[in-house]
Amino acid sequence: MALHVKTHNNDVLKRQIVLHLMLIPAVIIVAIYSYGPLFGVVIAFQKYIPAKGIIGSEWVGLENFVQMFTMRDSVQIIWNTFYISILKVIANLLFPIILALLLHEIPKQFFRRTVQTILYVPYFLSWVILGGVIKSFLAPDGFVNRFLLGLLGIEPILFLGDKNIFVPTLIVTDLWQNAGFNTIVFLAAITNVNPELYEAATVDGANRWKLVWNVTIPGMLPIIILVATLSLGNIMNAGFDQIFNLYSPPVYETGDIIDTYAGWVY
Amino acid sequence: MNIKKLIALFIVVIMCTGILFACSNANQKNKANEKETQSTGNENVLSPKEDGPLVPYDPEITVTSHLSSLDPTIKFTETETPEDNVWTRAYKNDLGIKVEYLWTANSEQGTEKMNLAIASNNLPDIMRVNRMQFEQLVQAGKLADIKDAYEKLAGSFIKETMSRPGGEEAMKVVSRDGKMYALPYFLNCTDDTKNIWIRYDWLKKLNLPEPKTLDDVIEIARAFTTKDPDGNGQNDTYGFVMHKDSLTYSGLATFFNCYHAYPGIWIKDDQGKLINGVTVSERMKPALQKLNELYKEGVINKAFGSLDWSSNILEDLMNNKVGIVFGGLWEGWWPLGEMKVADPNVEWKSYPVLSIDDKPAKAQSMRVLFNGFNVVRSDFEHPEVLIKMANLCVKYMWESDAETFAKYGYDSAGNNPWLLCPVYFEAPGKNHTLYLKTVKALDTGDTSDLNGEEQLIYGWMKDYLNGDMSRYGIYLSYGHDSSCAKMEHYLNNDLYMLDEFYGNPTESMLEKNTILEKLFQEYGYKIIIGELPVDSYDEFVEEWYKQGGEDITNEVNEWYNSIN
Repeated sequence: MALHVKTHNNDVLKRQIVLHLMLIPAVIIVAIYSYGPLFGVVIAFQKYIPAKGIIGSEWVGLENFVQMFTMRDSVQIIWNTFYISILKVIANLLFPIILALLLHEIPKQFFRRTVQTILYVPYFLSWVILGGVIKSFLAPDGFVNRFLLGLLGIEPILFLGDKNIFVPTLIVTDLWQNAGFNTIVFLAAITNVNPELYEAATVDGANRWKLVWNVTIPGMLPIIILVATLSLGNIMNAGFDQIFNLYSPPVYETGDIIDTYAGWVY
Repeated sequence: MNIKKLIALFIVVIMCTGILFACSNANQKNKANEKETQSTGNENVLSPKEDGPLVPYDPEITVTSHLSSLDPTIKFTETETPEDNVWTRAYKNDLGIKVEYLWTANSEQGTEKMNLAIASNNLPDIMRVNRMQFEQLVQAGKLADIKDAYEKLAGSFIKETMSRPGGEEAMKVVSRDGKMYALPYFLNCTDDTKNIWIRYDWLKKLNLPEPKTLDDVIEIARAFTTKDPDGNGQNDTYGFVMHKDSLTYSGLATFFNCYHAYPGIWIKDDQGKLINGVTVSERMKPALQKLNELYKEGVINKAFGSLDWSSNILEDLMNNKVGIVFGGLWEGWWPLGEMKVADPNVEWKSYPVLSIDDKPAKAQSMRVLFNGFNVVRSDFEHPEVLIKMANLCVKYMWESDAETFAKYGYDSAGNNPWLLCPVYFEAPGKNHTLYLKTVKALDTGDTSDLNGEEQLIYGWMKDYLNGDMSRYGIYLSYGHDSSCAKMEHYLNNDLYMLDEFYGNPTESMLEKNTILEKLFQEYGYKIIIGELPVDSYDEFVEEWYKQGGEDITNEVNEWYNSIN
């Protein structure tokens, strides 16, 4: 660690003034566009009419909240939101770790890089496109069902039309879209593990599995904790885009979340 | 080192001032525009004596508006753009009005942009808004009173339309306290006429009789499912179309009407009070029961809950997989009629709603249905501009010859410039008149009293009768025994079940209607697939009332008592 040298405050300021100046435009933009609108939360306590604006709309206290919580479906949609988002957070943490570990085992750089890129591509597609693709893939007469019927003789499964299968389908397709991103982060963490640790462990008689369990994973732990903490912010975010593009009447009961339900109430 | 620092600082300062510049420039442009429109406005006040329905403005005035109808269905030729087309030129040359569009968008984005404009108080001078937006703007006092302008400048076509049945109700809706706030674009009951479409060539092939009752239709549906009507040796056909939006109130209304059930509209109960047709269990349950039966038999596609009309169902229709559509007036024009181009053997026939018992079936319909409200913002100097532009629309669309109509309305190449008209006015029931006049012309050969559009349609139907298969859809819509022909059947036998409510959406309606419709969807769907027994419909009715239906019913009856 570098020694702390006590310098005069002025010197510090002089060196850092340019940095502060560069930050100022960004800070202003964030303040105006991200913090400013936070005050709009007062709309929750008003009978808001867009034409009248915030100032002209009447104050109704907790009436909106009462209305929301006494609606028949409120408990169901809140439960759905938590259930789906928590499952997604867990899946999006576990699966990329496994994927990263597997990818790390691939010796050929070219092959590994190709697989990485392919994994990463769905991340950039919007749910409007993905929705269309997935709907036709999982349709009763779509690719997946024809495969199941032809090769395994299973009756067509209504992936998007059966309320019990809908949520697992959501998780899997969400994984398909997002796994690539976290995988790369974890791969980077894995490559940062000191190779000397691996050598030392092998010398001590560790097999491949023990290597992974005792060297790689603990080496990744700081990054895993970081990613897990960041994804905690997604607890109530069950993925409006995805659900809106994939749901239909048969699955409202298990698929409707707070965000999509809001579309019905307005 | 110092120079590097200086340069860096310099760049930062430039970036900051650049941002500030951009903001202030935009503001200045807006201010300049406002000043322009204000100054040209002031020199233009015509004295009431000189003004008339189509008297132009001299010097020219600029009117801002918007286009919210640029859907993929709109087509125009290479020389036309949304900003410069037959309509904008007509307004300029005939009325001295330069139209500037603040934005152009398709219908979905257009509604959002309009909502944004309302929220940010950035309204165009003239606009077309939907019912909710109209209510909001009227309540907020943002619309100009056009009663004077209407009385003095509206042409006879407009005034006549507004004083006929349908028009009177519309007038009531747009007027408050003696003031008039919009020129409505509205339709009447004949514009919402229910039809059952059946694959006629399949009917003939399987030697089935033409249906006279709903039971006949159900037998036909069963035959279509089991007897391989398209002759391809595979058991891949089913009876009738249902898709994920079929269980909205109006989605399968044609089917429910056959059971004397009228979901979604307001009808009188035995005590003369208004109730919503969806709450009448004794009528809805038998219909749902039958749907459940047909679902189990495979007459309805088992996956219908996730099927999309515009992709899955369209495919099924085109691939000869299904033979009955419970619909309205326009399925014949598109997509059913189109099928004949690919396969001339395809034949469709439309039937009115057929009853399940010995009482004749009525079709539910709106008394008046608003497609839009043409409004002027309250601070604009020339509110009468709305009326004059509407007069021009009438002149080119309804009071001209076939050539003019093809230029401004729609033509055989599929161009439809009428969608580019910012102030659109049409006589409700126009399709009814069109049907009567063109069929008469087909029978007598006398086309002397047909207006532009009528001549166009007549020409196309004649083409079909002479062998042009691409015009089949039009003949199915306006020809002999077409979907529009059913209007006569319903009108002459008093078989329209009219919605008794046509007032402004009440408060509870605005808040609760979508939730209640969704409730109906849920219960309806579960009963049809057999997850819930038919008797759970009574539970649904209770829930419907509890979740807001009761408030809505009370408000509707309040309104009904206030106008009667």
